[in-house]
Amino acid sequence: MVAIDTESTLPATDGRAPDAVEAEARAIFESAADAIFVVTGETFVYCNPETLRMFRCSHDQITGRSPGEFSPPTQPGGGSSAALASERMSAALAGPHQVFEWRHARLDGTEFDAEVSLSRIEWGGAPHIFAIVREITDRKVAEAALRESEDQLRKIFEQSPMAMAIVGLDGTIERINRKAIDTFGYLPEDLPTMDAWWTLAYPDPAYRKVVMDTWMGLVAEALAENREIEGREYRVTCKDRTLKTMSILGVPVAGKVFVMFGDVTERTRAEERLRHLNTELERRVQERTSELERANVELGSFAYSASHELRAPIARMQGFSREIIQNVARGDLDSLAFCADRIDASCRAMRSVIDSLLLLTRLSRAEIAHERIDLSTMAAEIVLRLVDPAASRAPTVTIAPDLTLEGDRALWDICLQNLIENALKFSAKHPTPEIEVGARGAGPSRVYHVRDNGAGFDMAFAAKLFQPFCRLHGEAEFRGTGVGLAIAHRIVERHGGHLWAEAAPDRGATFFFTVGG
Amino acid sequence: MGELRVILVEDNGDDEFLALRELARAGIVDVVVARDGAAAVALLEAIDRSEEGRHATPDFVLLDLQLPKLDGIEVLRRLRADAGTQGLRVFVLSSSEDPGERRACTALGVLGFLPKPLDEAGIALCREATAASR
Repeated sequence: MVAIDTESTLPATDGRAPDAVEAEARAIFESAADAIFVVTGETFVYCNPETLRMFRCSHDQITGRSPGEFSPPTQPGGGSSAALASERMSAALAGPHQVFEWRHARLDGTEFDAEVSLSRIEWGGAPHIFAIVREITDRKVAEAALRESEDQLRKIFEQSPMAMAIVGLDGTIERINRKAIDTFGYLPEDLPTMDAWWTLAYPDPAYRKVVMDTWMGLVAEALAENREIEGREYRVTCKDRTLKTMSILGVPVAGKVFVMFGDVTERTRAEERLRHLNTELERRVQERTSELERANVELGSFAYSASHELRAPIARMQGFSREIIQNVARGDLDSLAFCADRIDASCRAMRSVIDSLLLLTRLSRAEIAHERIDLSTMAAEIVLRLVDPAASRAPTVTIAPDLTLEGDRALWDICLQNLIENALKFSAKHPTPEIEVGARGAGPSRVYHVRDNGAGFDMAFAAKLFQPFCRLHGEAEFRGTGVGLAIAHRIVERHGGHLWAEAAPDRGATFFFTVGG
Repeated sequence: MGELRVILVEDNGDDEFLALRELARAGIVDVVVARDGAAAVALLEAIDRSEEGRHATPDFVLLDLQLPKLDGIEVLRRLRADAGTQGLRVFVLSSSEDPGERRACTALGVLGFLPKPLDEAGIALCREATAASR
């Protein structure tokens, strides 16, 4: 015990010898973990050893000073320490017990937080202040840490990129974060309780029941097994009536449920798209497979018709050769020139079949150039090449001006020549043959045509028209390899367009074509 | 055996010339030529419905397969579908060797396949098969 005022003694309180009582009291004060001191006026009159230890000063240093001097000039909450200390002490003297937090400062300048309890005591017949000071720096640090941690949690919750809500087990929605508001459009006041959420987020009663049953079941399981609420996908209706697919899961924490919402709308859509793409791919593979099968069949039948086209002139050459042999054997030389001429014709026919076949094959592989083509000029030049204007029944050819298209000049020349040749050939027997090259419409849907007023054909055979070696007219009637239209067709297709024909027997034919974009 | 009566269905002038020469050398001169499938069907149906039907009916038909308008197989189908012409003896005269075509022809009751150019052996086959089926 350190007696500052050596005159002072602790008062006797019960019937025991004052010395014994004082010795006990001293022992209590001296072993106390709190600073205990007595102040009169504003000056220390008594302090225990813990006071000296807490304020890190000696007995001499504390003598005559006031508690206000062991404080920084101002308190953390603002206000002068001296004034506040006087206030507290006056209040304690006036009666009520004062308990408050106080920032103390030691003489060496270091500061510490304390919880101070002041009460009035009558000591030696005069009112004194009895003070108990407990250092609470650790508690303050812990409180600050807790506050900081809570603050961080609040920030994490508030700024989380994931929509979150905190729900009481009684169904109160205590808090929803910014992302949740952004995601669903509902404001906290729209969602005071889970009942409000169920009604707004799942307006369809049937679906709402499914969702509620699912969620409640998962919550019950989670609580029973002390684990998180399993995530499930739900279709949530937002405030603007859009539907979002959300993966919702929760964690029960201290009588609340921490709910997290992951927006999987895009993922669900992407999965949907992927599924769709897969189906589409599957369909296209099948389509392509059947296309290939069809192409194989076509190729097989093409091989037979091509081989027939080559065998036929060989058979003729063989026939006329035998004719020559037999006629020579009989001494008949008159027919030799005729037979030789027919053999020559077969040779030429065969050569043109071979040329056509090669062209047709090359067409499938040729690189397609893209250039602007003046189709009117091209048609005029073709007509000049093919038509002898001095011929007795020269056709009237009309070519619309300014016909242009994009494509491969060399291929379009072949295509157009075949179409015009075809028109010339089949109108040749008409008394006044007429051929017209023109177009209708604009842009990618522009349809070009080559029209004649010749023999035409029955539309029942239109499907065969573009098959190689398929003739709708007898060879005797109209000469040709039977590949011209197949070539024209292939060229139009290679440009991404379509070629088709409309005709009627003896009423002419019109070949239409488009050029793909 | 009397004179054989033949209908030749052939669209190519050279092939017609060669077939007619070969038939003539074999002594067959009663030949009517149809130059496309439709003409062949019309000709055969008309012969059957004419007054002297039985007499005018050919002993056999030499049929080319690659024909404009109606091809040879379609001609065969039409002949077989008509009560008056379904019994006609038909030989295919073609330079084609398409197995699909052959199967179709066999199924339609063709008696034989003759390669072009028509020769003595081909005509002999026609005579024998015709005699055997009388």
